[in-house]
Amino acid sequence: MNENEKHLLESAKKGDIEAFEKLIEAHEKKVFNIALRMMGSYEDAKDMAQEAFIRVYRSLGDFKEQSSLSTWIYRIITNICLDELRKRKNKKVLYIDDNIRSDDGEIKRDIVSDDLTPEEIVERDEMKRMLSSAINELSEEHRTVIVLRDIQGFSYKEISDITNCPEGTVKSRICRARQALKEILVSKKELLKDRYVKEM
Amino acid sequence: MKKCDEIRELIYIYVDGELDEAQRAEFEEHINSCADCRNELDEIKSIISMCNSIEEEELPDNFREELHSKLLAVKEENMRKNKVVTLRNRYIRIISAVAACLLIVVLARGFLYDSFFPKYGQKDMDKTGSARENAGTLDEGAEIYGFSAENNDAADSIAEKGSGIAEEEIQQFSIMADPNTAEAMPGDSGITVSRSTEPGQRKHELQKSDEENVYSNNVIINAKVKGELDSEVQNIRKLAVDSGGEFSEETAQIAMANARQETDGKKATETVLNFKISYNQYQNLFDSLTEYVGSGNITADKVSQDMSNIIESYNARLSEIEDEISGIEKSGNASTSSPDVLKTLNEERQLIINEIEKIKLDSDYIYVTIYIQQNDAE
Repeated sequence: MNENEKHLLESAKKGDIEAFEKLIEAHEKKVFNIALRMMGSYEDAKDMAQEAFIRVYRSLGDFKEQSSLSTWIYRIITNICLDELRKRKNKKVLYIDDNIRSDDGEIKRDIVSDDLTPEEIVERDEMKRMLSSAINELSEEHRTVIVLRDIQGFSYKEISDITNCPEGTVKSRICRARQALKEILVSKKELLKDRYVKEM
Repeated sequence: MKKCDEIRELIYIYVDGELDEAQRAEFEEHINSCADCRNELDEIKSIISMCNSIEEEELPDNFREELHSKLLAVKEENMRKNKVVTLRNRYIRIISAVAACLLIVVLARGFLYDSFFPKYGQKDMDKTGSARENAGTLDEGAEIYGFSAENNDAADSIAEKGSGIAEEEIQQFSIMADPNTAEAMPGDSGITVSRSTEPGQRKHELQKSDEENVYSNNVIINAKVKGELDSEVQNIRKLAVDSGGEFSEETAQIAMANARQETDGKKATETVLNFKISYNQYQNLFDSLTEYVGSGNITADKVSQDMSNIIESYNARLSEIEDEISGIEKSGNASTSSPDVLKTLNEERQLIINEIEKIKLDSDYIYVTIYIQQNDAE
């Protein structure tokens, strides 16, 4: 944490909203994206991310500077998403088929797909959709490490800090999560093949 | 050599480069010679790279604005809570100080009361004599205390011994260790323990609130009854209600906060009534209570608290808020956060107005706590 950040943190702790906003600016996008992949929906992600920042603002006083602010913020967003997912599971309102709405990227796809044939684009889109829906089918525990490791690219050490788990646990959890993800994808591909065959 | 399924377990870690040197060498050796495992590795790599390629989404358009208003609301809420808590704390601190003083008086008197009452009510001169002895031995240790006696002679003689103040006609006297710190209150039909004015704003006599002055009045009455405690409590309660006493949860809480909290040792033979009564009806209540239990069996401690400082600090905050509100309204600030700020300010304003009204409303009342004890001297 540099001098400027320390200064902002001090002001933010006293309630200065502008200082707080400057302090979190660098983390907002990442927090929103973690929430997006965890929750699988744009609206939910927005709510969770804002909730996380409000919680950060409220509890800045408790923040111990020996841990990094970003790790602390990522831990809060991860926990908020997990809480919400568990709450929903208890209420049996699982949005398994709620694909990542924001992942439409129609425009983006047109721009970057210059060198792809229309068939390839369809196939890739299909794969993306499948991947999103597979991630949503993972258990909360597995989803968390896939989002943090394979989507957000955090190191094992960082994930261990964020999830408050020993690195060894993180390692084996990543291993199981990837296995689970692969199995879901394999069964989805088979389903797809079956459907394709039937339609023929 | 490891088998394929053991190697496949390692794939998930290998792709992150997290295998140790020996594991990695063994893993790579196997992969190079086993096409199935190589395919498996490729498949997993492609899944992970697919995950990696999920693009970061931009924040929703209004994300920052929405968050800003939410943060403002939290900040205002915090400020409001802090303000109210500060004022409340102040209020409670003052009340506690009053209660602490009363506690000392009540405890000291409770002790003396018990020493005296066995003697009370017996017209026999020998008994009065021993009461006199008690008075004589106690007047050094006790700052203030008092009791009634039906025997005018005894009253005269003991009162002369103490302070020289005697009210023959109303069967009342006071004994004081130091006559300079105490004054008798001939206006009451019972005995009133009273002190000269305390430093600060507490006065040991009831102050009627008016346009300019607002007081919080509290009275603690100790009454001794002869009959069965439960039914006596019911009778006194009925008497209080008939005189205009108002019982409620809230009243009980406020009265208790102002009165003593302990009584562990006494609880079995003592019951407490808490209620409020309008200033004008109080004297009637006290008179009928005195008549009911007998003038010698009742004592009252009175404390008046000048509330003007507290109201002043509420008003100061109120004008601050009103300045802020008119500032915002004047500036015509159309930023999205204004409605929230205004709303919170208005809420706080209303809260303070309510508090002030409540204090003023309460000032027309006297909060009364009656400790009813069985007079086991009988």
